[in-house]
Order: sequence, then structure tokens, then C-alpha cells
Amino acid sequence: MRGPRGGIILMKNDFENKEGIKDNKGNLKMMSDIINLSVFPGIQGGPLEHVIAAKAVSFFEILQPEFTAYANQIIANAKAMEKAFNNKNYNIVSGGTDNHLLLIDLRNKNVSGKKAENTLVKADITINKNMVPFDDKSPFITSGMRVGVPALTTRGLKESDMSQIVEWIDIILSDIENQSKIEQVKIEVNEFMKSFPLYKNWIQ
Amino acid sequence: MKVDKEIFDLIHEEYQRQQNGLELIASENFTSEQVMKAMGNVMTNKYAEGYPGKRYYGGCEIVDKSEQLAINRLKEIFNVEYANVQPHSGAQANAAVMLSILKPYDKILGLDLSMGGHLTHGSPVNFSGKLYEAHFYGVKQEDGLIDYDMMEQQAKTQKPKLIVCGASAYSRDWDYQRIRAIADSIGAYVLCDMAHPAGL
Repeated sequence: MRGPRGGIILMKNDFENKEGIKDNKGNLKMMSDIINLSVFPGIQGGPLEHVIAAKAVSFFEILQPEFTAYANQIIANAKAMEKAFNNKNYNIVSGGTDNHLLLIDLRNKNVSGKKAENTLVKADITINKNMVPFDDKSPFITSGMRVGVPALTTRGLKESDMSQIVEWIDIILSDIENQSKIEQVKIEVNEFMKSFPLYKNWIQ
Repeated sequence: MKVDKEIFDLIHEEYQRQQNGLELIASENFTSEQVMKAMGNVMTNKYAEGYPGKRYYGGCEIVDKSEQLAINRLKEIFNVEYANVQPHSGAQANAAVMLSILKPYDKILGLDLSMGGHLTHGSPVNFSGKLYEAHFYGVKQEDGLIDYDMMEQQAKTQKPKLIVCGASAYSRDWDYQRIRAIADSIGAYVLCDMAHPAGL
């Protein structure tokens, strides 16, 4: 949702609780009251009102028409990335994606998730290692990597950029000990990202 | 007071890392400048235990308005009757919901962590697996899709009080109608952890 880090709780329809919990007047409590009391004083103290203000701003942004265009672009980018990984013979868990992420089983590439994560980051490409279903490696090693496109979509990258990204990932994973290739990809990545400024008004 | 150069240098280093790299972590994004501006200001000075209109401290009239605005906007976005914007994280949100409807040792049914599930859906290292008796469903080996037959089987045998759906590494849509039907057949609650796809 592109807001600050934080949580929310939603309920489509409020209802009288089924646990028989009653208020002082003997009426069944609404589930909304029970959940409110579970958040505070149940498991938290004072709310972070600055973070809540930032959540409100992000909700304001979601209500603008541009946000829907952005969400649609995420799906389009994820689909383009799915195609690019398929073209390079990567094994996508569940065969593809309906949302913003792909889970890739790296076993046919003979590289672990840990090795992929640690090597790609040297070229300034950040992904995370991830277990794949029925994984034979531990959670610290893993056989897979998870890639998602929301952050790059916010930067302004489009479908046509996805094959270039997969190309860079593939250059590194296909020759994982080749330091000069890693260094070359890093230079290209840094150069490429210069065209997508992150914050215009950033002051050190 | 002297300026803390050490930390602000690190913040700038992090900015440069974010500017220069390809960020492909599925649970990350870049918030707007106005979102960050809202986070770093006088709002952090206010202590406001309670909820808008029902606080335990004075001087909450303004944060009451901003919190209520957050709630109203969120209800509009998702067309829901109820929203709470106070959880510090998704894990806290899940904890609060579980605390609301479960007692210690009650049974819950979630997606196996090794199959794409989340720590807070019953993992033994998390409160959800320590406080409650966790059972799991998975994905099918042949196609990697959620195994709804297994979910139904587990639901009928274990009779969990809560079924948790949602994941941290699952790239497909969920069959919410099927999950609702399974839950209704045993009188269980459904908690949907939609942290990942909520923005779509």
C-alpha cells in the first residue's frame, strides 16, 4: 500500500461476538470493541500518532486515480518479468504470477537462494532468498528466491525494462563466481537507476 | 545539542543505496515524500493511549482528527465497516485478532511457513505457534497452488477455531469463497493476512 511500515486491521461487517463476552450492561460486545481492546490495552500502549498520520497520507494517495494506474502497472511489470524469467528457463513456482511477486526455484540453475541473494547484492540488486515448497535445503540456505516489482514500479520502470533486469540477474547467476561480470553489472545497474531519481528534494 | 553526524551519515548512505540499486524485495517499496514528512514531525511527541474521543491523556483533539481521518479513508478504500490503524506492524495486527477470538491452546490452521506462509500464522518460533495449537495446510507438489482439499481435510479433522489465509511468498490469487465455505462448515473464524497484495 506504499505507506509507512505498520499494521492495520479491517473487518467487512461488525458483529456481536460469538464467545459470549458481555459489557457492563449485560449486552454482547461487538467484535470491533473486542479487537480495539486487544490492540490497546491488550498488546500495545500508546499509538504512534506520527506513523498514523503517515498512514493517513498514504490512504489519501490510494484514493487518487494515479494509484490505480500504479497498481495496474505493478501487475503488468510482474507479468513481463514472469515472461522474461520463462524465456531464460527459470522455474517459477505455481507457473507464474497473479500479483506483484514471483517465487523462483533455482535448483535447475545449481545455485542456492543464499548464494543468489549474497551475490546479486554485490551488483546492487536486492532480492531475498526464500524456501520453495518441498524444499530440501534449510531456511538459512533455501532453494529459491523471491522477487517483487512494487518498488521498481514506484521508481517508474515499465514492462520493457523487466527483460533487462532479468538479463542482469541471469548474467550473474549463470556465472556466479565471476567477479568482473558482477562488477560490470553493478556499473550498469547504477548508471541505469540514475534515470529514475528517488526523491527530488532529498537534502543530506 | 550537537548534531548526530554518525546517524545522519548512515541515513544518507542508505538513501544512496536505495537510489543506486535495483530493489526487488517483494515486501519493500518507496513511500512518497509527503508520507515521510508526515512521519518525522511533532506528531511523534504526543502520547495518546486510547482511541479518538476516548483518550487517557489531554491535548489529543488534533491527533484525534488525524487518526479518525486515517480510519475513515481506510474504510472508504476497502468498503468496510471497521478499521483500526494503531497496530505497530502486521505481526501486531495478527496478534490482536488472535487475542480477540482465541484462548491459549485453541487450534489455528495456517499456511505452512516452508510453503510460503508467514511466521505469525502458527510457526513454533512465534507467539502464534507458542500460545496456540497450530496446524497447517500447504501447496500441491504438482502445481504449487494452495491445496484447498488439504485445508478442508485439516479443518474437518482438527476443527480449528481460526483459519488464517494469506502468505509472504505466494504469487497467486486466493479462492476466498472456498475458504469462507470451509470455515463456515466448522464454525471457524477467517483471518486474511493481506499485507502483500493489499495495495493491488
